[in-house]
Amino acid sequence: MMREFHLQETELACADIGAADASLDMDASVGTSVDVAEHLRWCARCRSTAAEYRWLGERIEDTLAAAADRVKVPRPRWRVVKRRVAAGERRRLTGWRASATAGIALAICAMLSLSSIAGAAVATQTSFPEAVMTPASATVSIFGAHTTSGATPTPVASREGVESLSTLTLPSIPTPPKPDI
Amino acid sequence: MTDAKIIARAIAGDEAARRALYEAHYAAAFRLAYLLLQDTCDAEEVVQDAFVYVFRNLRRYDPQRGFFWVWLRVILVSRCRNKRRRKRPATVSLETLAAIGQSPADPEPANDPASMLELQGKRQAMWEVLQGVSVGARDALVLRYYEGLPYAEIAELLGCSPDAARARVAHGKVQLRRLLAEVGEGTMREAGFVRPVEVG
Repeated sequence: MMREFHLQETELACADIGAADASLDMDASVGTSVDVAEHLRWCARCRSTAAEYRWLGERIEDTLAAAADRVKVPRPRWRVVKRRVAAGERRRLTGWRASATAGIALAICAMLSLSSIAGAAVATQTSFPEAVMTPASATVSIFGAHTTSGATPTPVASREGVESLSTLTLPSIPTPPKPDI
Repeated sequence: MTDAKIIARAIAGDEAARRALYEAHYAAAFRLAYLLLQDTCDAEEVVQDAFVYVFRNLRRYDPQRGFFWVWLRVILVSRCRNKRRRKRPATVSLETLAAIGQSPADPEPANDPASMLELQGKRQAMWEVLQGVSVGARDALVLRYYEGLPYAEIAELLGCSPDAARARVAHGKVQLRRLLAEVGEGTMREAGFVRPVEVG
């Protein structure tokens, strides 16, 4: 059964079985499956391909190490790094100050606009008694019209009654909250 | 002075400690960046960026979570990938090349890793073939075979699962094998590539 098929190249490329460099190829995080291991025991062709990939891995390691060794490392430029770090700090401080100033300005604007809105509200509420008195006098004229036409059997309010309406004591108006300035 | 002491002093703002830290890890960082980017100028720039980030955020470094190099490597790999993503291939018109007396096939000496490294034989051939491997797979190969990292750590650095990291390494090797086959048997023999004796 095991000999009737061959493993995919990607499976063989990372097959860890029988690796010479076990420390590199054997990886506890992702191990070779039991099926692959079992197959490699029986299939010479796949075992050969796996060996070729292992050899390729060694060549890659060797090539990369050589490339890293031979590249000319430029001189470390500490001053440039230091200057850039310092510039970043300055920018951060400047940014922080700018945002703090903007925040304070925004808060002041908000308080000023709130106080002006509150002031308008106070003015509206203080003119409230006069607005109430006007309909009261209108009621009188309506009553008068009804009595002159005689079309409706509405009872006519006496003059004393009307005067007493106009002298009604209104409930005290709640004072608006003082704005926090 | 131990690395931990230097880092503690660097966090406290000691400039000498910061400089010592920078100089101690600069070469390793540059080599890794070079292998990932295959360009010395880009590698130098990325390493500088990475160190600037490190020193601005040194307070975030937690020694309990790993060595300083591990932290620096995470930053470095991430910046190398960003650099490559942002970098577009430079286009030069044929007229410009003709004007400076260079044919399109001539590689730019400063950016040609093979000429810079002056690698001989199989290493040079292998290095050249490695350029043909897809970027993701090449990153995985470098981290696996140069840094010697387990798949779990490669996965963390490349932002994928350990299985995906392993798959990238495998795909890289498969691509490399095919590219080597395309190079031709003669070239491979010249380069010192001799297929291993079949096992079994």
